[in-house]
This record gives sequence, structure tokens and C-alpha cells, in this order.
Amino acid sequence: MCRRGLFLTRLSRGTISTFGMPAPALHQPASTSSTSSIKVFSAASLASSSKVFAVLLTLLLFASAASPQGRRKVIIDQDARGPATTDQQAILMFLQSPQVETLGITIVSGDMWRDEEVAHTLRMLELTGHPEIPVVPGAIYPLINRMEVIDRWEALYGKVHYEGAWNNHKPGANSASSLRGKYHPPAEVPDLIEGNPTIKPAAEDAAHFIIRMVHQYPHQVTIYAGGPLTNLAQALSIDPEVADLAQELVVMGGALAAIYPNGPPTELRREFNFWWDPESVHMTLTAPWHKITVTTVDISIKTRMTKAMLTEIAKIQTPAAQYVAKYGDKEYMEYMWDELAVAGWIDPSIITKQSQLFMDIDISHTANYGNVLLWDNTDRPGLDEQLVNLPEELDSAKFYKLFVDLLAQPSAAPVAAH
Amino acid sequence: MPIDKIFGEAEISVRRNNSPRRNYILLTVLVFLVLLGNVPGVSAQAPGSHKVIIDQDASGPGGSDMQAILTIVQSPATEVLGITVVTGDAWLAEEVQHTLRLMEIIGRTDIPVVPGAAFPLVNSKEYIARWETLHGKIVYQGAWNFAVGGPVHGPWEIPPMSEGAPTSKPAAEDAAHFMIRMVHKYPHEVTIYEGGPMTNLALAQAIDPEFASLAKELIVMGSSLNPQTDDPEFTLTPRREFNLWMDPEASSRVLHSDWARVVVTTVDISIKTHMTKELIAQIAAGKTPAAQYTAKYAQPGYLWDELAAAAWLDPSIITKTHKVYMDVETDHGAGYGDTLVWVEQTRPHLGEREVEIQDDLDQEKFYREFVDLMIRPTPPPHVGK
Repeated sequence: MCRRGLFLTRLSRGTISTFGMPAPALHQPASTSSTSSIKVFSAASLASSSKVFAVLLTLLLFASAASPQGRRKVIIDQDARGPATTDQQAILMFLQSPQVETLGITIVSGDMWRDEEVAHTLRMLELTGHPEIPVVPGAIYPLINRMEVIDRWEALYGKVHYEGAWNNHKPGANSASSLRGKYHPPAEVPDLIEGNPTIKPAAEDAAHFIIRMVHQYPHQVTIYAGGPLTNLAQALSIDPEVADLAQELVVMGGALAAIYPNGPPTELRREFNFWWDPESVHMTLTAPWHKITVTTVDISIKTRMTKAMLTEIAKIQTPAAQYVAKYGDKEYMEYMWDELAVAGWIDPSIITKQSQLFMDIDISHTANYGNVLLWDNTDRPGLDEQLVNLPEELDSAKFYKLFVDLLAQPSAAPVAAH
Repeated sequence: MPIDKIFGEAEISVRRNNSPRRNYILLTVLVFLVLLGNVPGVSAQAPGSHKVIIDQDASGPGGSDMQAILTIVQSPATEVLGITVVTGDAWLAEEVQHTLRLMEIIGRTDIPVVPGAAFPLVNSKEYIARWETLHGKIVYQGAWNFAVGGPVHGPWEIPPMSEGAPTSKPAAEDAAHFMIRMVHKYPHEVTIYEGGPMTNLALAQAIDPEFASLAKELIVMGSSLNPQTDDPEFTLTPRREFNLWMDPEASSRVLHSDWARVVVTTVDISIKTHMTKELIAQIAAGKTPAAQYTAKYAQPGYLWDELAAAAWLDPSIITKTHKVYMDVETDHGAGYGDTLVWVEQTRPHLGEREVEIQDDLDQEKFYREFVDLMIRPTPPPHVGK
């Protein structure tokens, strides 16, 4: 093989630093066909309005500190395994932040089946003093992908290490150890070790809830997705305006070129959240969001729960801290996958380096099905793929401190029901 | 296999078998083997003991392909049975001419230059152009989008050669039949070194299913796992590598054949090597035609194929390895031509082979041995051929 120096002159992928401020929204046209639907800010207009912008920003900061109405609005879309684990801990970070108003928690199958996740989430809300937050059931199954199809796929292409709710899918068989249970069908909800909830989920479905909220608060709602993107794909399919009406999209998912401590991974571009429902990821990542941030495996595995952290949390007397201390993972010391995605949104200064690339997922039914695709501006196909922010490095101390500090917050005051 | 490994295994056998008589026989056999020169390892073997076929996409003049050919031909430890040529970095026809000319320059026109496949089995330039509209541009496509020192041209066109045109002729036989004939003539003795797309090897295996099992081993420059670099050509598509990508079906066929051993030099380790100006200057100081040719046409860049060749000659260049099962994706999706790897627990058991992956190298040793090979006198033709 031989590659000439010619190709080495290409620019390295760009990196931007965030200096304690949210990165600017990406008003980049994804392709010529969708340019008209996206606002393009010219450098000149930005410069001339910078003073006005600064004044507005100051006002906004004051407003957010002053009233619940000024809190940053978020919909938490989560595959909510429980008790605790990265899923419930990510949810708790939003709920515990005084700067955040959680409009609702929409649930999707992923790490567990939806109904079991709904129960764990309701119970977590009871135990941590947030019973007023709506829990909205979403998709039980991915759009196209099915565990029976994955069985056939594996016969051709090899075993998939982690399959979430599908793991070892024979009724009664032990699931992956981190699932802490036995496989059961989707409608079955075993008794919860943290106790069964008495509060009930919302009657609405996740997709319609998301659509209703972004119309009620146009350009004010952040959609955070910590699980498979089925609910978002459903919402976008019913109402394509969702992407434009949302303020931004924050996702934990995907893998690029992660360096694991135990040597090179055989599956470089496969990550569970994306893999579970590839078609939904494609639909979501090709929608015209104003800003997309994707926390990948690459940066998530630079974090880790520690026994020391759990000991520190156990000393905090808030219900949230006690919940995490009691049910938090003490055996596997998991990576803080979803918590990092949340933290980077709550305090962008935690992310010390990030790049911007165009991202999609392979939906061809091949060996590469469900794997991340990545381009820069020179080689992308121009089929509505979007530029996404990809956090690469973090201030670990600041991240761990934020996590512990949030658990120490008193449960935030309820806001008016939606 | 390195000589110390043979002795290491022999010692284990000696310990297992307590009979002094058996020990004596074992040692006699070992000494005999060493004297025969059948034990590889550059430093301690008879001249020309290493039978090898060089299968190469031989873009020229100079550069990684020609430098890899030179690495093997310049070693006194090798007996090069032939150089089989395949389209890859350049088209077959011009590659054959550049290779013939190189053999003339270094005085080794005794080595047959055997033309192989002009096109991949299934993949094509035209297909990839459509593929790109769906899945994005592919920066480097060898002969399909690049030509040394001139515009991209068609498969049968041979642009003027700056090193001069050859007067010698290629072999009349085709690469696949030549390789089959050689492994039958010297069963289990011939190393197949592969520095380009695998079309010739796949054709040989399709014609003669015994082909791979009759070879001694397969040495490959190809595949990509997770290269650590800022170069977007490799980070955006970390599993795509040109040699395996250009003919995915051939790659998959070859990686499902029953080789006794497969060693793979990946992009990951190749990009830890650099043809620096200093190295070129060291080679330019050599007075031999091989050194002068190499220095004249060398360009700064990675030493892709040279590393595969040099590490075969001296395995101690490689300081770390691991084993995986490897295949290449032949599905026509976004991953077409990408490297697939598994461990024992995850592999599909469809005939995929375990390969040795080189992870790390002793750079100084590699550079030193590479320069030494480039500047040493070219060995004379092998006696008794």
C-alpha cells in the first residue's frame, strides 16, 4: 500500500474549546436541499449584534437565577434501568439542579424493557422527593431492529457483547451481570428491590409529549437522550418541526475510536444506544436541529464511579444522595456514560476539548449495521447528515464534584404542572 | 519462524521426553535442519534459504511498493521465486514496466516479473463512484484516482517512465498459475508476501483450493483497526484500509483460506514509521544502484509495505503482537471493504482465520535494517535456479 504526501496536507479535524460558555449553536446547512429551513448567521451580522447579544445574555443569566420560569427546560429521554446505575443517576442530576426545569421523563426500552424502566423511574422519584415529575412511557420496541433478527445477524457476523433488555433472551436465563436480573418478556415487571412505586406514569405517549412541549415552549426545550432514539424518531416522524422547535439535542451514544484499558476493541464503531435502534438514530441525526452534542464511548470511558465517591455520597443526608449510595454500583465501578452527557450540558466548562464532525449511522443490513459513520466537510455525502459537537476531553475533578454537589442539593421546588 | 522459537520448542520437547536416545535424535534433526538452512531468521541462515513470492501493487518509480520489493530482494537470506504484480496503487500494466525496470537497474533480471490481475474481482472504479454518492468520498483509491507525477489515466496506458523504459519482458505465465506452480514445486517452503490487493491470491485459491495450505505462510500489509493519529484519512474511517478495500471479495476469500500462518501489518503500526529526509540522506550515501534508485525517487511518508517485509526478515523488529480473527466486509453497505475482527468468544465460525497482528515495533532497529538493506550490494542470482 502506498499513500502519497499529498493526502497528509489535509487539515486535522478542528477542535474548539469551551470556556465556561455553551458552544455556539451550529447554523451550518447540512446540504443544499435543506439550506432553506436553517437559519444561517453571517459573521458580519453576528459582529454587529454582539453588544445587543451581551446585554440579552446578562438579562438571561439574571432571569435564570431569579425565577423558576427562567430555568433551562429539558425533556429527559432515557432507557431508565434501575435502581440507580448511570440511567437513574443521569436523571437525578437534572432533577437536582436548581437551574433546570424538567418537563418530563420519557422512557424507552434499552438497558431494560420500558415497563420495568417506568417502574424504576417512578420509584426513584418517590424516594428522592421528585414525585411531581411526569414519567411518560415511550417505545417498547425499536422501529425495525428485533432481537430475533439480531440472532440471525450474529450467526453471520459474530456475537454482540451487550444487548440490553435482549441480553441472553431466554425467559429465566441470567442477563448480563450489570443488568442484575433474569431475562423476562417486555410486559413483565418483576418486583423492584427498592420497592414498587405507588405513583403512576402519564397517560400520554412519549412522542406526543415531546411534540406538545416543544410547541408550548418553542426554542426553549433541550432534549436530552440517554438511551436509544426511538421516541425522538417517532416524534420527528409525526411532526418534523420538532427538531427546529427544540433548542438543542444532547445525546449519549456512539463510539468513534475509543481506547479501552484492556486493549483494542474488536467493535470500534458499535455502541449500545445507537445499535439498539439504528434507523431511529439515522432519522434523528439527519433532522435539522439547531445544535447537537453527542457524548461518545470515547470520552465516557474516561470517567468511572469509585468506591471513594460512593463513600462521600453516603455521608450526604439528602434523599437523592442516599438513593445513589444505597443502590449505586459498588461491584463494577461503571463508566459514567450518561452522567457525563448531562454534566456537559449543565456546565459546559467540564468539557475541555471537543471536535465537530458530521455523524450518521449505518442502516444497511450488513456487518456494519448500527455502527457510527463519521465525515468531515471534505468527504461527507451531503445527505442531510448534521454537524455534531463531540466532547473529547473533560475536567474530571470538576465533573465528579458537580455530580456529588448535585446529589447534595435539596430537591428542587416543584414547578407548575404542564 | 525465528530460530530461537524453534530451539525454545525443542527444549520443551526435551524436557517432556526423558529418553536420552530421543534427545539425541531430536538434536541431530535440529542440527540437520539448521545446516540445511530451512530455519528462518536473517542472521543465522544460509544465503537464499528463504523462498518467497512477492505479490505487490508495484507503483513506481520508487516509493513504498518498490522499496518493499527491494527490502526482500536485497536480503541475502531470501530466494525470490518471482514478483507477481496486481493493480492497486497503480494499474497492472505500468506496474509491470516499473518492476521490470527496477530489476534491470539492480541487475536481477533473473527474477521473473509475473503479471496478475488488472481489475479486482467485483469492485470497480465506476461502482465506487456511485457508492461515494451514498456514503461519502474515499480519499485514496490508488490507480482509480491517483497517479505518480501525472494525471490519472486508464488501465492500459503507460506514461513515460522517468527511470527509463525496460527492455526486458514479463513472464508469459499469469500470477495465479505461477504461484500455484511454485507452492506445488516447493510444498510448505514458500512464503507469500502480500503488499497489495489480494486479487492474485484469491484467484490462485479459487483455481487450486490446496494453494494456501501448500504455502509456508502469508505475510500481509493490509487492514486497519484503530490507528492513533490526527490524520482524518484514518480517523474518520478507522476500519478502511486501501489494500483490503480495493478488492474486498478477494480479501475475504484469502482470509478464509487455510494458511499455516498469517501475519498482518496494519495501518495502526505502519503509521508509526516515517520515511524521513534523514533516512533518505542515509540511503543516498549508498553507492549501489539500489541505493541510488531508492534515494532518487523516495518521498517522505509512511513505510507501509517495507515494515511488513522487514519484519518478516527479522521478526525481532516487532515488539508486541496480538491475535484476532479477521475478515473483510463484502456486504455492499457503508462498511464495504472495512476490516472485521473478532476474538474467540465473538467470532461467527464461518471459516474466518486467526491472524497475528503487529502492535508495536523497535523503530530504530527497523530503520537501521531497512537502510542497511537499501545500501548493501544486491545479492547475485540464486545458485541452482
